Amino acid sequence: MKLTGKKTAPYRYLAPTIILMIVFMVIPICMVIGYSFVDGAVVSQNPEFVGLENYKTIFADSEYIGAISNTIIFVVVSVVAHLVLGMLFAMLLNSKYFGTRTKTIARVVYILPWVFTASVVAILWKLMLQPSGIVNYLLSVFPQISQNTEWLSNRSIALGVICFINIWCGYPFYMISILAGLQGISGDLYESAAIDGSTATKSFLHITIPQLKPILISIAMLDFIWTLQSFNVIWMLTGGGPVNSTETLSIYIYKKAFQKVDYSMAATAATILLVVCIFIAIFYVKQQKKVRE
Amino acid sequence: MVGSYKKTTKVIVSILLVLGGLFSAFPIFWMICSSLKANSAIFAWPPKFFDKTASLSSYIAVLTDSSKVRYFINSYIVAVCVVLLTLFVGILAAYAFSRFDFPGKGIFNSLIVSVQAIPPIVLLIPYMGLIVAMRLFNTYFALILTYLITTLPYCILMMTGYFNTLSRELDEAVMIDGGSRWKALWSVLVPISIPGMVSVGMYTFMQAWNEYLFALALTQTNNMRTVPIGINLLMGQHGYDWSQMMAMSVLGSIPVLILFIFFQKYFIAGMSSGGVKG
Amino acid sequence: MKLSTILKKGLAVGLMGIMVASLAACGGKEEGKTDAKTDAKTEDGGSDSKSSDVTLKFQQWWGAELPEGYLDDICAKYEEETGVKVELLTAPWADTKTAITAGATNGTIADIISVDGAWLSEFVDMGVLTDVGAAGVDSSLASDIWKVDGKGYVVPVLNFAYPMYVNMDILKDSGVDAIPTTWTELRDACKKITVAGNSAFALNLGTTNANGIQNVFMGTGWGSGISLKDDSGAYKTKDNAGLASLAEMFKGLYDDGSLYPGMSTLEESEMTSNFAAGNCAFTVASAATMSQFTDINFEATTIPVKDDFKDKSGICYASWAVGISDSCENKEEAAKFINYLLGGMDGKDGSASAGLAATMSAFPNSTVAEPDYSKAPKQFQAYYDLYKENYVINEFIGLPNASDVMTSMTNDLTTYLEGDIDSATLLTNWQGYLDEAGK
Repeated sequence: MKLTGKKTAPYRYLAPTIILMIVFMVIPICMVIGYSFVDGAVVSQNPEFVGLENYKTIFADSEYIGAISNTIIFVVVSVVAHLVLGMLFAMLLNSKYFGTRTKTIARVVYILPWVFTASVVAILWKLMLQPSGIVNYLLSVFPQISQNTEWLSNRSIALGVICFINIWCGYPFYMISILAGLQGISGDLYESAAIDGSTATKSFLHITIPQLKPILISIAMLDFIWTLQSFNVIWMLTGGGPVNSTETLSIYIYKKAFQKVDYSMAATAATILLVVCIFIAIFYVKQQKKVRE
Repeated sequence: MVGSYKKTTKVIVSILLVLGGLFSAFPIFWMICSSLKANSAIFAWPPKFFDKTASLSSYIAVLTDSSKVRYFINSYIVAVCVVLLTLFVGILAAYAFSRFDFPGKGIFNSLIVSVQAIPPIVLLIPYMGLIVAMRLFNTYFALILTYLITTLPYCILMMTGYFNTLSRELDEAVMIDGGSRWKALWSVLVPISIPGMVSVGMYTFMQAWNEYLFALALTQTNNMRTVPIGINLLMGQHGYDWSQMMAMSVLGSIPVLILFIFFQKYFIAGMSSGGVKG
Repeated sequence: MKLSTILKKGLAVGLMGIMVASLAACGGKEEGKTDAKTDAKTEDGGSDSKSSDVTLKFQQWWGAELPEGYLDDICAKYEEETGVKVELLTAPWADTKTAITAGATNGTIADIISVDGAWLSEFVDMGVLTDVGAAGVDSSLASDIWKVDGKGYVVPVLNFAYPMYVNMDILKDSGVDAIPTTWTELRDACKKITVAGNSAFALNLGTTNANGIQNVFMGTGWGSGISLKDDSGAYKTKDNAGLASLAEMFKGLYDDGSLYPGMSTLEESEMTSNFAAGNCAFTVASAATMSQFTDINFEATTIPVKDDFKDKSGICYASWAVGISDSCENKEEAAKFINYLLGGMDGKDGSASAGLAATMSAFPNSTVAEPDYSKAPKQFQAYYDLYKENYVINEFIGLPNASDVMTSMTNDLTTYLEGDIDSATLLTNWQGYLDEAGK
């Protein structure tokens, strides 16, 4: 009965997960990594092994470099704004100034942006940001804005607008998680701080933030990985345009894979992304270990 | 003095609450307005919230179209199965991560986080190859399996965090009474973890309900399609049916919202414990 | 762990398995059909086509655009006549290419697939398509068959012409008396319209689906005999004087503020919806959109031509076209269905094709179809005469890597219009993309 022995117990609990992950994730991922070392993967009958040639090509591609910088801006702005907004709204919903009913209604209203599929989010904002859309109409009280104001098609602000929309549809995840974290902080901490004469700002900085730190790092990490891959919203809003100004890595990869049918380059870009994320994952696991100890 | 200070704070906080509400709800309100308009009125200038074309005809068109109703049913079946399976498999793994120290734990843990890092677009073709080889193409099972795998990492991370907050003495008590670990997990830990399971379940449901790319590639016939595909089918080559698209999205969001309203107490509590010690 | 717990664990897993298996069974019907198809092949070795076991899968996006059930009815009728079942697989238009590519690499591709002109070359390169002539498609039924290297791969069923739509109320409101027919008149009319506070001309340069470069920009060029190719048929944009004048005309419109705002992310669907709402005076869009313009007073005409141009105009077109997949096991049956779409059972009955054409305000590619446009919008009937006087052209059909090249060309055109590069650079860049794609 060695199989049921004590040492194998954790592996038995993990078995379904490990089997699923290896068969359906690790194998395809290895195939993708394999594609990045050949030319004409998937499409060609006899792909030719080219070693690191694809990696050399991709780093020489100015479009790729542009996509990296757009991605960094997009991800950093989104993650930071998600955190700030999520925190603000969670504090609001947690404040002692409102009754239970107000809070219940507000909670439902505040998570609304989260429940729609990405293509709908894109279509909705596209409608609103049309030159003849509601946003220009409502904002036309300002003299700078008229029926001709462009949002998504202005190269200098398009990426900002995309970030805004991504922030809009992503903050509820943070809000809910932070709200939950706030419920978990013992009221005694605040009381004793108040007795010591601490101000609201001080207790926020010295109690709330440190108490929430583990959860903040966890969700920021997950959000970082998810935002890196965010594709549908950007694709349907701008298609990476105007003139590649909103082209992130996921758009770059899609264009390579399905527009140019150059699967090898798409796989190369994806593999680089994977390597970056593995470092993040290692950092994440280490940080979790620290929290536990 | 203190009283008036408190009052001002309350006013400011209330204003913030309303502004925040507008920020999140206004686009949704506009979506509902659009869904009530005739398709040609959606782009009219100046835009109006409600105009003379307002009617429920888009909703009626969606609900009386048997293939669209089928999309909703498919999405329900897939999402419910994914939630149950993800929770089952995820809880087992989370239990292992939370209660045991074993060689390879760190590796498995980072594996679970980092497999999320490959963009689904690239994974699509090799993954689809597996599904076809297993003769699962164009079945519910293909979608269920896919979403199970994509939602598992989050489920495991959150449930591990949740179990970590529960004292080990709980399961030891069961085992002292002669019970097994298996019993301790399902009869003690799981019942008190319901809030955590609800929060993970909500997330999983949402992911399964809203996923598009794999649903597009892994199903082929009309009777296997899900709601997001149905919405995109309204985006034609020569024109979009904007109002029906909006109507279908509104209808699609209702089950998620009902779930949230029903479970929100649990939801908040669940996220809390899972996250804090995460 | 004890034996009893293993049993319990097994039971739980088993229950899950049963649940999942039953679901898979529900979804497994389609697989059953596929098997039936394979069996059919071995059993009836191509005897008379009344065998009821053949199922053809037909991947298209048309079903979502036609009136509900229209295409199903055609297939049902075909099954009645021949016993061959045609199963419709409908995917969203924008993702049909993705779905076909993914299906082709994994062997789940349908038997008959609809192909856009921009995908033709890639699909042929990937070996997705088979020679339709060899499969048995009757070329005498089709006015045109798309060829690559001399082999016919794709048969258009319907052709959609791209007229210029004019909102007559905006023209009147802005003091423009007649529909412009030359570039100078167009530019003057646009100026007046802009001065009167209206939006003039829509050019869609969005890159989610970069087809404005084809339909509007080159559509305007083809109207005046301007071409991407030289006399030998090679792509020649560098130092192409015609293209340079075309680019400068659009630059003029842009500089006058006459182009509809938001052009660099404008997609065809939004452009037509905006025109339908009366938001702009001129737009170039598919004839199929005409039925959406119910609330405005509009005309459909050919695009204004270069001032001294007197020849026939080239009219840009797009198609609903079909090819047979290379992995199809019943290529003959598939070809028969295509023949049926074009010429009915006997090769003389163009009613299916004519019906589709009349429903979509399109022109049939079938040589035997005589569509009855009496129920089409009256603007369409007027345009039909213009269509017959001129000819259709689309130099992007069959262009290698067309989607990618069109996106790059669009990006440069936007940069040019916004004033960051000059027209010589624009055309030199285009030459680069076209040469690179041709390799």
